[in-house]
Amino acid sequence: METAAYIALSRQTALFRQMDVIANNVANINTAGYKSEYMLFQELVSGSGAGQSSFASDVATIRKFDQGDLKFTGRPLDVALDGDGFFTVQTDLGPRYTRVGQLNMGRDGQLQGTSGHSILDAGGVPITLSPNDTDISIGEDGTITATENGARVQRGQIGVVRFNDLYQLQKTASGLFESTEAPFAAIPHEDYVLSQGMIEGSNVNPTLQVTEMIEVSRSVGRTSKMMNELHELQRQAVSTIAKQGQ
Amino acid sequence: MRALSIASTGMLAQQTNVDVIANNIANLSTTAYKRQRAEFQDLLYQNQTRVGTSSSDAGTVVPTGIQIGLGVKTGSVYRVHEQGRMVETGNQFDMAINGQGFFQITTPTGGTAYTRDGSFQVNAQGQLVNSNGYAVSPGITVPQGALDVTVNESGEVLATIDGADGSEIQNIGQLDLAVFVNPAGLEATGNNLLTETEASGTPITGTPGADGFGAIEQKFLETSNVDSVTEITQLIAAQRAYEMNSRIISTSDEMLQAVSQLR
Repeated sequence: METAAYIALSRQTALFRQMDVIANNVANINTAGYKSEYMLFQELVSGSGAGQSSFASDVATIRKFDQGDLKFTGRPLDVALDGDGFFTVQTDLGPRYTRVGQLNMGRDGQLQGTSGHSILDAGGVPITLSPNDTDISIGEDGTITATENGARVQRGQIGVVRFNDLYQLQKTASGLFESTEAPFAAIPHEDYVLSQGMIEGSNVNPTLQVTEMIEVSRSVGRTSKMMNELHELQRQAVSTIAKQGQ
Repeated sequence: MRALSIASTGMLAQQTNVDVIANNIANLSTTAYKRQRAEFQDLLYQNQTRVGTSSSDAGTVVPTGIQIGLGVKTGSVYRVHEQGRMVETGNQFDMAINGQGFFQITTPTGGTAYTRDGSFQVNAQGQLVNSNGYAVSPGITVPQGALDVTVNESGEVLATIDGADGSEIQNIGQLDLAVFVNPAGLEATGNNLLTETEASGTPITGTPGADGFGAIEQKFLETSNVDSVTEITQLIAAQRAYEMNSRIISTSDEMLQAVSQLR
């Protein structure tokens, strides 16, 4: 009898966690380069034959890596990746990967990502611009060209990497991803397109999130109702058995 | 339940977004105002099951873990240093910069502030000052009896003075511009003034019109670079995102209510 209550409980706790995931998606609806997440459930079977029962268990959060909408900003240091691929930034803990191309210039002229980490070229070296560079243009292949003292000069090329298995990527804060070791490490990407003056928006689909939210909310309601009915059943059983004994 | 606090971070972020948009719209016709943009980042992630945790003795591993994000934060609010439009004013002390660079202004405390607002005037002593009365650096003094003042593209200030043998042209000074490695790192202090920070780098001064420096256009002013259509579109998006987040809060509340009514 208690098993039924525990099965309901397993569903209920998983639903609350699913709601957390939806809330995080909605909170990041305007976050550049954010990838929406959803929860994956699994049936957890215990016992066999007539006594077999299955619990609900959340096994994983899966990130959808499809591209967010590209938005025009007109800012020369905004670059968006059209298609798959990631930029590499240098952090104290090693390289991290990001789809956010809102670049800035540090005080020493180094190109930086949004969290102040240097952005790397294909060889893993930071890219430096000169203070009097004007007309900065970033080509489709990531080549940066600027005008200095009236002449066009090349300032390096933004490196783009890809992964064999995107699901192995671990999220750290601020739009950065961490990769696990080989065979899932970053590999140089050859076939990519960068667009200057654009940023990639979040790929959260509001309609989908609201629908999912309603579904979760209703499921919680139904599970609670079932739990109440189970308790009622138990109470009736106890009182009926007690009457029989008299 | 984390959903409540996650949604509140989302609402706070959208509030900041609306604040930034409101400030841009308020400065739609401020001389040389540079529009600002709020940029958001996701917060920390909690790992419930780590990726790559072994799931059996045989060495099988969990292909994807459970990571639950904790919401959103405002990463930065930065200025977009895009050139504004030029409008002709006809006023001889109005100057606009066509290209990179800032005018240098000496503040009352003795420091230097930077601005692209070139609506200058002349004070009682004949000094060239900005609309707050702070002197332009390097200092320019317009001599008494000057008939006309001309500023050329490279910042030379020439005054036509009525002399004994007809009017003559006199060079009364040179306006310099300052450029920064990272102009987005300058700190706004109000009154259209910006100051140097750790992030902006040190100023590099030079002659207007030289390589890497903008040219001075006399009798013109630079308008604000705010585009009202873009701002309104962003305002609508921000409002909808705010609504969605509040919807998460009310739904989470309903879920908690369902649980609290368990008998």
